[in-house]
Amino acid sequence: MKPRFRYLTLVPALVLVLGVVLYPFGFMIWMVFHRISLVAMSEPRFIGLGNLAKVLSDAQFAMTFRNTALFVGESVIMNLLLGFLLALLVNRMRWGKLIFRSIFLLPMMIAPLAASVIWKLLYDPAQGVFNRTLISLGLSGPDWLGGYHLALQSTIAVDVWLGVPFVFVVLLGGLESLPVEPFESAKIDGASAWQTVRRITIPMMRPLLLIAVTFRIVWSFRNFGVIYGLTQGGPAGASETMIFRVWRVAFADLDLGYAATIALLMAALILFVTILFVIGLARQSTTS
Amino acid sequence: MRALLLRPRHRQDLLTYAVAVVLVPIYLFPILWLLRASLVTQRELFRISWTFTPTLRNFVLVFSDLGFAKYVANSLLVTTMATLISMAAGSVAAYGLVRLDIKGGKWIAYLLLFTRFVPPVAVLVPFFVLISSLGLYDSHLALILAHISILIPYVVFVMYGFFLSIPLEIEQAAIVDGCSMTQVFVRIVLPLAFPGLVAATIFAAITSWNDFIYALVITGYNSATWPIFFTQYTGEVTIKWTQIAAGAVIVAVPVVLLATAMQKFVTRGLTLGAIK
Repeated sequence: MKPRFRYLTLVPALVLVLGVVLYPFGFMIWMVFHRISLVAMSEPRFIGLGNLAKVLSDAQFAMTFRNTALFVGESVIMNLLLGFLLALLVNRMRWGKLIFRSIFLLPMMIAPLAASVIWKLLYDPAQGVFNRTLISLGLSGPDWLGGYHLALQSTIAVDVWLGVPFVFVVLLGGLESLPVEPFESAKIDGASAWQTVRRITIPMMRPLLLIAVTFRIVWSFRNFGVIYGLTQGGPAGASETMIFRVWRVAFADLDLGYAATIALLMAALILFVTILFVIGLARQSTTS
Repeated sequence: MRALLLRPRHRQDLLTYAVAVVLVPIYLFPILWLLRASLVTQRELFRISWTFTPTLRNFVLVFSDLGFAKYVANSLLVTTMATLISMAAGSVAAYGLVRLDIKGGKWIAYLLLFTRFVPPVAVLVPFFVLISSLGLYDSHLALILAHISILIPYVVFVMYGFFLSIPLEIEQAAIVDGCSMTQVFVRIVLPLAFPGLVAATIFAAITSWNDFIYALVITGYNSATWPIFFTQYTGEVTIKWTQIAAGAVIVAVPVVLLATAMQKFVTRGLTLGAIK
């Protein structure tokens, strides 16, 4: 094949990716320095660092930052814990492994927005299953999605439910490919189950644990459907995360420049967290 | 098998399965409740009980009353086109990067990797401006383009791994036998990478099918996909929950069936996508 011909293999992919990702990405950096309204897109005005200054004085931005940290942090910790326990459980099975794996994988296939439909039904303050059950037990049910302090936690619960299967399936794959010798010698040495997990399983699974965590962090940051479907960031912004704020500033406040600024900060944050984990992963694989 | 369980030395097994069997209904409760909601009448919906007379009326009503068909048809069109284009462009590019010795190929691979880490939200606003200025707002093409941009980098990286795992000797032997590079790719490489193609296709299709944020921003009356349907009931006075539940079941079932049937491929696609 002629060398010139070879480059043709890359042309379709590159044109599409450059046109649809990199060009808008560059455009977004330009937007950060301009004031552009959704209703007057043809009249951008250069405002220098005005949008960045606005971030610092925007109290709601501070709130979304806090909410995002809680959303991602809590969700990923719970995912890791539950996903790992489930993987350990299924890995012990001698038969029916495939069936249980398929069952525990199910929530992963549910789109966040469809999940929010389900959970909205469960969370309904008067008619939902949760509160009906609580009331029948003689307790008063809270307003899961309308309570100022509870709304964010209720959305996190849904993200946890959606995210466990991914951690579970990645870790189960890892557990299945571990060598048996260390476990046999631990057994001979009389190690308890907890000791075996802590001293052998977790260290050997470290690279996969890091991968699972990194992917879950990125996905939790991006989970827009659950917030949109359940609370719309409410009440009074109490459950608004960064990705939801980007959407609201752009399409409700019509301030495209400021929305681009928040989006850029968010992208930088995601990139920063990802790089931290990738460095951790690289260090891990060179030392072991 | 069952007899084995009863022996004392299999007590541990018994515990494992007992825990698993208790966990399953708790874990799947939201899905089971959704299925129940899709099969009951509005009056039975909020009764806390598993016994009910199932009816398929909701599945008919969601199409006839709420106009669900239009949204599903749009989703089918967008997902099919975006998946096909991404698979074609992505696997050809991956093969180019793996085997064709392209100058600067490494940098192009990094560039594509970088785009995987640019969150869609970062390009959402400028992409919306771009689409509007091209007059493509509320067109199927705009949403297909948006999905392609997410899918291509993913396809390239999954297929890159699969192509690398094919022994070079097989391809060289075919060239010695007089095959052209195109023939090698179509007749030898693609069949060998079939599991990868299946995994990547399923994942690409599910990602496109489940996308919400792009659909929300760049579609309108004409091209709205199924997630938009679910954003439109919230304002109503009496929410037709049972019909909405039926709609949610309809859009979730194909994904669940496809992914479960192809589980072996899917797990491989997942971990490969995760490692690369």
